[in-house]
Amino acid sequence: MSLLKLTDVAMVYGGRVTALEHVNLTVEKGDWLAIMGPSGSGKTTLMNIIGCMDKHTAGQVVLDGIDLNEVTKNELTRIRRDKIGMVFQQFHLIPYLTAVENLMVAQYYHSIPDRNEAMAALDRVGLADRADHLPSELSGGEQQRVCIARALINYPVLILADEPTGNLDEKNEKLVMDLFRELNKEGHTIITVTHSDKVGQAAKRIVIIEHGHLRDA
Amino acid sequence: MFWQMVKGAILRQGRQLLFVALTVALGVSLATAMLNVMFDVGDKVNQELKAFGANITVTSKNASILKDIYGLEEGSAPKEYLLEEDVGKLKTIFWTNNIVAFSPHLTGSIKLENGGTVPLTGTWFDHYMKLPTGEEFSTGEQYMKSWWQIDGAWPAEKDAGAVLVGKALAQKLKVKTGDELAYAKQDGGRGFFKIAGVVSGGGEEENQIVAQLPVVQEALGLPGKIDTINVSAMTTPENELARRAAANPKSLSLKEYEIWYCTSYVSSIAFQIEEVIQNSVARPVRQIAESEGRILDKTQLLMLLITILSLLSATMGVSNLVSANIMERSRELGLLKAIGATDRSVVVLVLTEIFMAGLIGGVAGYFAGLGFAQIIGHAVFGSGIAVNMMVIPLLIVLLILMLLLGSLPAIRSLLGLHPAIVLHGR
Repeated sequence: MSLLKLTDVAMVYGGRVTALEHVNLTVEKGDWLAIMGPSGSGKTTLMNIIGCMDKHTAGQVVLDGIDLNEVTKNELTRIRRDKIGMVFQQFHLIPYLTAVENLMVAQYYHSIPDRNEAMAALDRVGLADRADHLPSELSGGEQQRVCIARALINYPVLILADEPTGNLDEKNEKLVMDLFRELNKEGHTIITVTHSDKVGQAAKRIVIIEHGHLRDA
Repeated sequence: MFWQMVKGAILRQGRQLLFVALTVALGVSLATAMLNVMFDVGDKVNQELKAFGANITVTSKNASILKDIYGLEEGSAPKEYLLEEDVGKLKTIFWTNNIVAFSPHLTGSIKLENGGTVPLTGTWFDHYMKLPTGEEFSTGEQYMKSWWQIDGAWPAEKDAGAVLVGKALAQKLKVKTGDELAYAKQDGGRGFFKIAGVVSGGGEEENQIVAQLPVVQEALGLPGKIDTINVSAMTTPENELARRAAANPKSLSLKEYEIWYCTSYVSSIAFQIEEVIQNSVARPVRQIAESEGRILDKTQLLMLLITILSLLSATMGVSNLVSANIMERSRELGLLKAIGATDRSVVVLVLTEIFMAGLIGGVAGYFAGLGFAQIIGHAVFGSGIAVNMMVIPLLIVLLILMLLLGSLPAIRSLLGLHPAIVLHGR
């Protein structure tokens, strides 16, 4: 069974603006998919649907065997919490919590905060020594690695990364992409949304989205 | 983790939450001041209203019955008298401390050598007395008639012949302060009044001679007798129980009777006066008693309105501050939702922060309010306001309501906060 299957998915805002139309996509476990396309093509909309942050207006989305058409808003939150790990372009760390506490927040809303486990996740991304620093005390690359550690902390079935290197310099971009490669090698399923060819080429598979329509690269 | 997040949020947003705490403190301080004043204003207003004279009149039982049944007024029937020696017993009743002042009266008329017969009242002006309880007490018209305007001076008690003459009578007799009036005594002898002052108060004293009680008793041939006692007492506004008791104390159950007897209703004080002064009837002066009640009700209503308005203003202030705070933190709160926080858990987090700030503001506001209450007490009534503990639970309820109502718009926008929008647009 596929990890993710989108069948004829559409998203229309306010009954007038069509962001996605007839989108069909299948992602297998262990896959690394890059969704590429120009600005305004519907990349983020597609990511919001896959990440259970938005509900499509037509079609069917099945994630890890759960038909997202059938779930309520609260269930969608629970699915997002249990199955998705998110990495954002702008990092989105809580500014008044340290690196390790940012990971523990994700644990808190998932189950029980465990500092040791959070420290291990930070160690995994090479930031154990920066655990007690506030986000403002970390570089962009370090913040993104904290974000990746947070995405991994609750053992999600799918890692969704929205422009993960968009705010990073070349050196940090390489660090982050190496991390994704390692994660994928370990069996993590990753979907990256990007318009960077470099990031796209790192994936096993690329799909192009244009004017809300999806096609293979 | 929850408390770490709350602590972190409070420390980081210290300024915004400080404003919330200040707004709450302002509202709570006003509410504290107004509620404490409201609960204490009864005694204060009562004390102030004592300036308007007696609120209980004591007469002899028989005189009262004749007046009630036959409508007989003074002079139309044989007079019945009370004894001057009983007057001090007023300070032996259960509510003795509520008896602020009193003055005995003996009224009659006297024949002046140069102006025919004129009304005469004998009373105490400033009378020192040793009470049966051993306490010392000074009372008399000077303590009861603060609105009397005297052209001259109040007669001194040691100056037996000193009198006040009503302004209208003085004009009629063409006399002034310092003049003497000769009169005929009951025994045929001749006496003299020395006019210590001309009095004007808008009442029957305008046409009277007001003299020392012993002089009038001698002039009228009624030694030791008085016909009325005017009593000024601090009272509690009447309620249904007091009205029923006033009509007939025997209609009350034992428990009701005890409550009534041990509450300073004007009717229960009057009842206790009748118990100690033999052959007497004590009647509340309804107009004053009811005015007291009405003024008190209106004053308390005013305080309540100020309390409500101050809390409403604070609620609106909190609402604006919290809404602005939520807008400012929309990314952070959206992120919490994105990583799995439910609407409920985010609302609980935000409300906890607001309630922590509100609690700090509430405690500070309470103590500031106690200070305001004392300032109001001294400025308006010339004395401090008693701290009423009942205000605390009331304030806690009001504070919770204020914070919940103030947070409602923010909670609403929080529930509508879509992580997809706040984190990276659609």
